[in-house]
Amino acid sequence: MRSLGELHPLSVFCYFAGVMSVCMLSLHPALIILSLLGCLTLLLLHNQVKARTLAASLGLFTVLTLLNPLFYHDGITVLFVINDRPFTLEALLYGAAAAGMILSMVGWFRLLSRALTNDRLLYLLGRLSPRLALMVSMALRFVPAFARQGQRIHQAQQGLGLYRGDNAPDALRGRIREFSILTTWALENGIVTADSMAARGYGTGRRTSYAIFRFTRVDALFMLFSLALTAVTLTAILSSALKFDYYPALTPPADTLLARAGLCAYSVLCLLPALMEGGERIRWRCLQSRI
Amino acid sequence: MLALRQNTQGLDYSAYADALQQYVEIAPPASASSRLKLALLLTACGRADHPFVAAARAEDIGRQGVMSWIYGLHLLNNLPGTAGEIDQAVASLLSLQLADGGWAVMGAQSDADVTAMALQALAPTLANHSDAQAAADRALALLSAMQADTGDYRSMGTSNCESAAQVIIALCALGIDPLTDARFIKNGCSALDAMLRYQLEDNAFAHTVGNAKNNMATVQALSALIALKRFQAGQGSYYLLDALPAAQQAAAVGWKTWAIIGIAAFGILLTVILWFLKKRNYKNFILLWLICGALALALCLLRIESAANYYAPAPTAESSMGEVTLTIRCDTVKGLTDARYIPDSAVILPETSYKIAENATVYDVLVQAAKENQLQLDCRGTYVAGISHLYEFDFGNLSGWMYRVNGVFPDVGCGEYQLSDDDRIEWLYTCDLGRDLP
Repeated sequence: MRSLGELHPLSVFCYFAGVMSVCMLSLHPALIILSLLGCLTLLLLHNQVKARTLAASLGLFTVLTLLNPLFYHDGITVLFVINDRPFTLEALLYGAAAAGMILSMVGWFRLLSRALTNDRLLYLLGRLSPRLALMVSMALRFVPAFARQGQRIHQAQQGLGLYRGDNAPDALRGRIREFSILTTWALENGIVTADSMAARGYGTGRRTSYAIFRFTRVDALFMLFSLALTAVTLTAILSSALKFDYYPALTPPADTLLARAGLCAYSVLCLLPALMEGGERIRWRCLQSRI
Repeated sequence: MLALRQNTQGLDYSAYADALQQYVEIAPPASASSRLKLALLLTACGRADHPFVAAARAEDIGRQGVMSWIYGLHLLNNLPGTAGEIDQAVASLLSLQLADGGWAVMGAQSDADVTAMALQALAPTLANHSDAQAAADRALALLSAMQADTGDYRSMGTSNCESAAQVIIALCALGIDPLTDARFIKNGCSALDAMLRYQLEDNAFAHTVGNAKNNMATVQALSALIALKRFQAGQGSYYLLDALPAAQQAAAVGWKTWAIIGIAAFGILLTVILWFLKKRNYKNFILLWLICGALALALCLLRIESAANYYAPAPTAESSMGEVTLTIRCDTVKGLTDARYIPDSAVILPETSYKIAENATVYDVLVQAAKENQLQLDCRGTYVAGISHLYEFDFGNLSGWMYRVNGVFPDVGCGEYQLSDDDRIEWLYTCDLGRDLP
């Protein structure tokens, strides 16, 4: 039993691919709630949830929920009519489901970036294609590099006296100017990086790589288990056993064995890492208390 | 109460409406006609969404003979989304028409009052029902024959005020002038002259000449006078309720004004906060008030109405340029799937005529039809994406809604096609970009 960060990258990737593909393919409210619960539990276990991000997520959820009925007017329950266009309950619920799906995807991606760090991602991609791995690694490197350079530009401009005026429109103009400076620097930096790589011999010979990841029995078990659960859920979704129609009236799917099996499988899948890590911590507490 | 409602603007009926609501909740009458009359009154004072109205509509129409059909038809004419029930009620009422062309509560001899009341109920439906028009003509012939030499009408052998009053209301509802139409003037006396003979010195009316004043006679005579006044002013029939514009507009203006006051208060609050936070640069305040102004402008452009208000029947435009007919059909997808709300007859809206104003476009008529018949309509701008839950691309990439005017598919969007009098608009669902349409 290990946490996600200690497993082999391949099995971690299979797990996340399974969870996220199910989340993206269906708008069944139970599936979306399970997905949200799963990523929220894991984030809480890793202490990654702050009040500010939670408030921002709720704000995003509200905006996305309210935006859908403003553009889609299908649905038989009309709540009120704006400018001759009906604002329906079904469109609102569809918006809520879509917003929940987006939020859960954001949460799972955060977990993915924590579990699959740069070197693991490169190890995975390197097996597929070294060129792809190189491009991904350079793109990933640019994100913090740009942030740092942006900071430096901001401090330099402050030193030059840009933010003297204490008002919002001027501050906005200042930020736009800094952004333009950063873009120019990034383009130049790209050219410089290419020259530097050429100078150090890139492209002259074959690239080798070294991997320290070992595929153990636990990894195999975890991968097989998550693939099996994903397969069950995907079968349920693709065979319309979990088809939830929002328009024109809310029609939940029939309560068949396949539907129940799909829901149970997905709930286990979402809570799998949480169960693993929670189990680890409980075992650690028990062992610790015996010392 | 109907007399006040149809004659005087700007009265507040909320106290009356509350009392009426209490009455129907505590001790509703058992007779179907009484229940339907009360339901009509509830609709008249703006409480059409009270469950009593829906219950009366579902159970009482036609439950107790011809009067329940008549009052039921009056109620249906004033509620939205009742086309099918109106068809049924009209058919039933016509089946009760007696051999001589009139109607009666019982027996084979037509009664002037009941015949006139049946005509009043049928009047709004004549445009869409040709058999009703034929029946109405027979009934009018009968009424013309029934008129006495003095212009009077008799009920059960006695000349009385109420019969004349009902005939006047019926004629006005049908668009016939009781004062000038030759069929209803005998020896120079019209039905109005006859009715006024029953008027007493204190302006009340008696049931028969020489008797004391009578409540029912006075009320019915008042209704007749108001119906005549509305007819001469070009307003709608007595039993077709005008919308309640005063109350609705007050509510609409109310919430918008409050919202704009709220935005202004918010702006002032932020100004004060900025002042105290020492961010007193003038550009800050300009930006803040620009944002508040933009919000207020966006708010003014919004029209939010509740579903009940929006789908309620609206007053017809008095200055109309002509009439067009609109049909909405989906024959190409008839019976294909149960998933969407496709009617069995593939007719979403049968051929209905609408009065159009100046510069009316096909889009305007469609929106009006959707409003009156409670049809779901989804338009992106003026592009029609879906009608009655049937959307474009539901049956393939070439499926969608197309419109035809007088048998020809125009090349412009429905928001740009200007209508003329007597145009025939059809909205048809196609599965093959119009190639499968006859």
